Amino acid sequence: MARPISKVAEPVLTEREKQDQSVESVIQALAKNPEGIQATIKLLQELHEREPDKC
Amino acid sequence: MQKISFELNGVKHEAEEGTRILDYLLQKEIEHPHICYSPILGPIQTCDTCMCEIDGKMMRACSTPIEEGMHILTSSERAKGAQTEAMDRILENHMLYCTVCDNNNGNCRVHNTAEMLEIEHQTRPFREKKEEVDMSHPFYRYDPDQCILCGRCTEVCQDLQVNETLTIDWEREIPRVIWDDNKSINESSCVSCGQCVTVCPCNALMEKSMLGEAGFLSGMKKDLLNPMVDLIKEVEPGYSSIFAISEVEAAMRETRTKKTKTVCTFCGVGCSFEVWTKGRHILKVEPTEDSPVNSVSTCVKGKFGWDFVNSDQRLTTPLIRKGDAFVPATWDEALALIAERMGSIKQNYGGNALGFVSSSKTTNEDAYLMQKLARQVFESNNIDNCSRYCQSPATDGLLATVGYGGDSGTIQDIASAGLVIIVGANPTEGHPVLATRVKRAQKLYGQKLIVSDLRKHEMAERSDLYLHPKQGTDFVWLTAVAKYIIDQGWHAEAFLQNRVNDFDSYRKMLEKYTLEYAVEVAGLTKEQLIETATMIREADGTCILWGMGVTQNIAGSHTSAAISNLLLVTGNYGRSGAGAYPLRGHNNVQGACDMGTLPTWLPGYQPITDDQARAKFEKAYGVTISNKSGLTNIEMLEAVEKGELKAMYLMGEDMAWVDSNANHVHDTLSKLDFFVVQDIFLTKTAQFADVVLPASPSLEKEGTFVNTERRIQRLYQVMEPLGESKPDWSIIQLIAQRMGANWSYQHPGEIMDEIASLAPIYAGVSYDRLEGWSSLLWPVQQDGTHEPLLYKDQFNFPDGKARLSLVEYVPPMEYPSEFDLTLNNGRLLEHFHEGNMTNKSKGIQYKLPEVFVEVSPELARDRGLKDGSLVRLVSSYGAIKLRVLVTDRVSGKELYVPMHSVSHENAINLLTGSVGDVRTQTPAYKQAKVRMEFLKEKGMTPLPMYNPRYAKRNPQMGVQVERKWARDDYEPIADVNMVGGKK
Repeated sequence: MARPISKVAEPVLTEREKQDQSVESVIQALAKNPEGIQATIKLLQELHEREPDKC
Repeated sequence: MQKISFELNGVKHEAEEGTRILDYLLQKEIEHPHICYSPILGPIQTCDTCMCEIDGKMMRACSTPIEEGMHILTSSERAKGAQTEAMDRILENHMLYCTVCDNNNGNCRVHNTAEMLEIEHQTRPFREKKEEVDMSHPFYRYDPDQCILCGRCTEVCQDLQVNETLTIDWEREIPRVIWDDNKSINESSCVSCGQCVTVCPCNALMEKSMLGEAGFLSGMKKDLLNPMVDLIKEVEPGYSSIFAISEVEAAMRETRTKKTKTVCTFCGVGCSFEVWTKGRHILKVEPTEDSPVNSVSTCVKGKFGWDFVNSDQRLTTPLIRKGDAFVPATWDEALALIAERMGSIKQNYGGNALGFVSSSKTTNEDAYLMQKLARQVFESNNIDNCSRYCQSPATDGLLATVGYGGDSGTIQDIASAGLVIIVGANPTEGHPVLATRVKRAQKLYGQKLIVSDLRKHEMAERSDLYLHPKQGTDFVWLTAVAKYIIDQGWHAEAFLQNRVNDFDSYRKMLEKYTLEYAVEVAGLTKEQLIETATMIREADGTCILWGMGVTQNIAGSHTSAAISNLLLVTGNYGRSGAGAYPLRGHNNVQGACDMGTLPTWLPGYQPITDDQARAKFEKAYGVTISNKSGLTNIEMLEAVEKGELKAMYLMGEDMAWVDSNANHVHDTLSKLDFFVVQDIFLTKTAQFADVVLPASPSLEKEGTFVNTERRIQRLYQVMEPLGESKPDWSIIQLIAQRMGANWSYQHPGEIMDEIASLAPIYAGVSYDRLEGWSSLLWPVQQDGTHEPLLYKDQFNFPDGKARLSLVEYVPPMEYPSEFDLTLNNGRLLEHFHEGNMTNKSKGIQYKLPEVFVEVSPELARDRGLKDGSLVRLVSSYGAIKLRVLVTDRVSGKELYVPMHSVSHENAINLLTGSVGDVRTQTPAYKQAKVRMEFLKEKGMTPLPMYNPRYAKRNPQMGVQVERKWARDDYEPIADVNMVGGKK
């Protein structure tokens, strides 16, 4: 007998699983925006390589 | 048509006689200003911006037909002067703050016309009308200050939608649009169809979902906005630079606002429109004059009822039953479990132990794959769809008499008929846009209307002849009218002789169906029957429309055949403005059946018993297909009870509330060994499942729907599937692949190609031919020729001749006398079906929050009931508790309960019984009887006072521009002012 149920159990995530989900979402964001990310890296790199007094 | 020649700006032109100047300019794509004109509505003559100089006179291009030898100047100094003057008067009523206006989307007619006229300054300054913005309605608002008084809204409300709510009060100091006799929008008779908003040429009428959302700067508050507008006007010397800025802003919106064509899912009319979105936010639904069925029309659900798509109750991940709860699962886990359980049931008990229920809401491609999954992968003919609950009897009656189970013509045919007869259907609520075409034809073109219904709904109110037969007796009066027509010699003798079989046997069958017999059985008068016959005889074409009031009876199939017989006898097939129109309830009832999600038919209505047809599918599918019919929905549940059907796979259908005798259905569903439900919500039915799969609704997928006219239309993906939900076709494919089938559809278009290769009525259908607004009405030949009007030359039988049906009347079921009240039931305008989708709309819930029971004034008096009284209705199958609404829409001992409930307290099908149509098993929902128990006298009225059903309409013909012209302060621009234009 399959009684009707409307309860949906919320998944209980371990810390590790939560972290995995976060990492996964970051990877997805990276994969979706490769050009922007690469340009940002370039920009950061240039900032990094500048002489401090010229900033 | 005769050609006439004339001169346009000094150049010779030719046009067909009777063409209006503006139509000619539009045809030739010659730019010319105009704001109020619409080819659909004809000339309204309120804006005056289309002035031309014609043979020395100032006249409107919109309302002046071209005449032989006319000299037309569209941009002479005088013409330009008149156009500019007209625009100046418009801008007195409209502030140009385009850049920060939500209507600045490139299609604002006021903006575009002002720009085309190169307006730099206005001589009359903008003046406020000193009226509040009306924000009272949940879905749209009216800003009198921005209203240019063109009257397009009024024209559509009066003469296209024919809801007759809007007028322009031309006599007040500064005219404005008013609702009824000057009520707030919310308290008026407005049915929220949204057509006024769609046709408004500026931002006076706007969807609330657009406000502050459409533009980049339009979210600004008025106290900040107004000084900014003033500042811009100060800095910028003329309007051209303001237009330039606003156009840049409009172009930016173009990149952000997505506009996607879709087809509505809320009924079988098949309205199409663009959905404007910003991410997942629906800015608005925008029908256009390109929409083949509905043009600019919509109803409240199609225009405003889409909140369910973004509801937080959407299923976003597969769920697996574990103990007393559903546990979210990955697709992989869900598919593995389904393949294992269903695979082993097939192996142990054979395909017949499995049942498949397809949906009349999903696409053709979804439905086709569902039947392929059943027949190929699980080798079962146990496949049915929910048309079993509504339209199967109509299909049966038509297949028996004329050979195709579908409408015999189009909505244009209905609109152009001399007489429309509606039997047991309530199209203003169930098929709103189709109903508008009948209302318009009646109001403007003198079409006659007969309505036969228990309930005095809007169409009955409007009818020329209202028939109120006893429940379940339509067969008798229809047949008696046919007999009377033949007895009088009014029948179409040549038509019958050349195109119809079995006339002699039919005449014999008719013998007992005398007028006297019909009077006795159906309770109508002789005069009513004779008048019906006379009206059919006098009409230039009769269309008969019918719905669940006919089909949901124990002999709905017989009555459907009787309707078809009457049309055959009177020669009302195969010509325009005539024919049979079973109004399909859901968006894809027709398609679900076309796709062969039926136990006795392969796709394209090829009988399962036809060896040749089966061989074709066997070759394509690589399996043997049994020549034995499978089980219907109803038989599947019976087989579950017997322990013969072990597992079911159900897509997009809340069977637990939609099938009759709900208590029994719930009981049966709980007995399944394994149950898979695929839906967008955790419906009551899904609550019985072992695995629930999250599907995507129409806005999240591509595919095709077939409307009630047999019209196949494409829908495009508006937004991405929510969460991990997937289009139904793709879910079914995943299951087939898990079961080892070699399916690899990348796109629904490929599925349609396969359908076209196997179903001859779809032979010429392809996604290319259905691009954009294009549509095809089946049967479609290989070369793409389609058939909007069926049976022009022959009926769909081997000898090309129709067959008069010889089936007889079956009286309604009898109940014990304690059940003394007839329980009618069905839809209301605001809600779709059992309400799962529309009850997610805040605005709809606000306007129509709950179900109730309509009680006649006489019964209310008798039982001491008032609006809001609480009663219990009890049948032999169950009981529900409802509040009372006293109304003369129902009479005597007849009740009406709307069906949009998913509650154990008051869902109608807790009361309906299991007996069904003698041929198709469609439950006789309409033959329910109950007794009423009085619970509490006083209570809140269940229908809010701001529901339009309480308000009184304000009918008039169109916008009545002559009242504008009659104002003391009106100075004519044109030399000729004639209502409706020059004839």
